[in-house]
Amino acid sequence: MALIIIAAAVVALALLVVARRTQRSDDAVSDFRRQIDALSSDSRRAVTDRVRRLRDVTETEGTSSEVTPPNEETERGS
Amino acid sequence: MARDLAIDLGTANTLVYMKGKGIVLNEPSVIALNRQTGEVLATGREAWQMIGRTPGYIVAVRPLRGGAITDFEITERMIRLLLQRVGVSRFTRPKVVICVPSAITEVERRAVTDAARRAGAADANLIEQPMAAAIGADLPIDEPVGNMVIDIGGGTSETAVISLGGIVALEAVRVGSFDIDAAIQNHIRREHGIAIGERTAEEIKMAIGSAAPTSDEVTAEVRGRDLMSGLPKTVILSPGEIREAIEDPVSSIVASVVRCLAKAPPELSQDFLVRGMYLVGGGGLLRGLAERIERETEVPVKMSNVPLEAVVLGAGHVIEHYDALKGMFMGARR
Ligand SMILES: Nc1ncnc2c1ncn2[C@@H]1O[C@H](COP(=O)(O)OP(=O)(O)OP(=O)(O)O)[C@@H](O)[C@H]1O
Ligand SMILES: [Mg+2]
Repeated sequence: MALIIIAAAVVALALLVVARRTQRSDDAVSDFRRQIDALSSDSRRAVTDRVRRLRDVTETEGTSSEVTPPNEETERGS
Repeated sequence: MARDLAIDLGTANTLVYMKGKGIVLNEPSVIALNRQTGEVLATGREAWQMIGRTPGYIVAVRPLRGGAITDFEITERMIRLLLQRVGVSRFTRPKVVICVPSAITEVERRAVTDAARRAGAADANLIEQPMAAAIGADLPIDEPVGNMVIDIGGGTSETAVISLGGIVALEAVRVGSFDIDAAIQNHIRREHGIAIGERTAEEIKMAIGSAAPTSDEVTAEVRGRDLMSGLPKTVILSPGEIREAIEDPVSSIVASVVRCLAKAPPELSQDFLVRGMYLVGGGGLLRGLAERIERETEVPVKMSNVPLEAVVLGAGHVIEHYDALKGMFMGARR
């Protein structure tokens, strides 16, 4: 009798472990999918568009980082 | 509720992206301190203007110089001030993603995240610069193809191969555009006997510096202090002599790109020939550098259209999709 109970307990435990493991790997699969989806070009469009708008604004303001010839700077040593 | 933030804590420039808003701050990573009391006198552009022009009791420093955190205390104060300026307080507690050079040590990483938490962040996580740059430069890193990104900043140059959202190969060196400025300073001191400051050296680099001969070469006039007489003096510099003077740092940067290419698995190497490599970072804007890398690697080089913002935009994207992308934080992957 005791043997049967122990055997049943072992089987139940084994099933539990297997179930947990498959669930975890399912989670891993869906996490990975979610991550890859979030990295797609479509999903990134919101951020890149925001910059394009920013670009347009700074360009009309004329604050681009124009290179100035290296003059009129006399530093007092280093 | 505060809006979550992404920060590119660069050795030269600091950028902050606010969730749902975009880039809200973009300024030099400089802090000016009172040498005696240690009080912060200015940060950002204002502090940058003081470099090399301060009276003895003020010191204007770049705390992240060299791609390493040389002074933890000052770095922490800089992060605190930065967060304060974009509206973070003890009551708002936003999540923060910070981009750091991938070569920084465990201790430096802890210092950055701890500083952000102490400054009011509810959670602070790090992401590698080249990964953020690849996201921000809009490379198809969600596909199983080789994407190569080269980020040349002020203090570091990092090249990475990315596929399926992960780094496959990485090569980082603590050589960047500041080393080019330093080489120019040394050259002018040695060859012309005059001392110039680091800001002047940077201006010379931008005006006539190059990594390969270009068609539109002009000379430049530079004024500095004569080392012998101590008086102001003017000299004329040619692009050729500057090119020679900066050869050392330029060739170390190019060599690190070559090393990264050699580390890439062969299947992905084929992709580079077709897709090219993407250049980001301010240092990548040096005239002739893209051509030079292209010539030495025989792989096409493309300039990102957002070279200075790519990193913060990539981190910004991660902040926008925090839950889906939290697996990309440094330390989250095994
Ligand atoms: N047109 C240009 N030509 C050459 N160098 C440039 C140009 N514009 C900017 N730079 C240089 O780029 C550097 C800043 O680049 P960037 O903002 O990408 O650095 P960072 O991200 O702060 O540094 P890091 O990534 O190393 O931490 C400065 O050293 C600057 O002199
Ligand atoms: Mg950078």
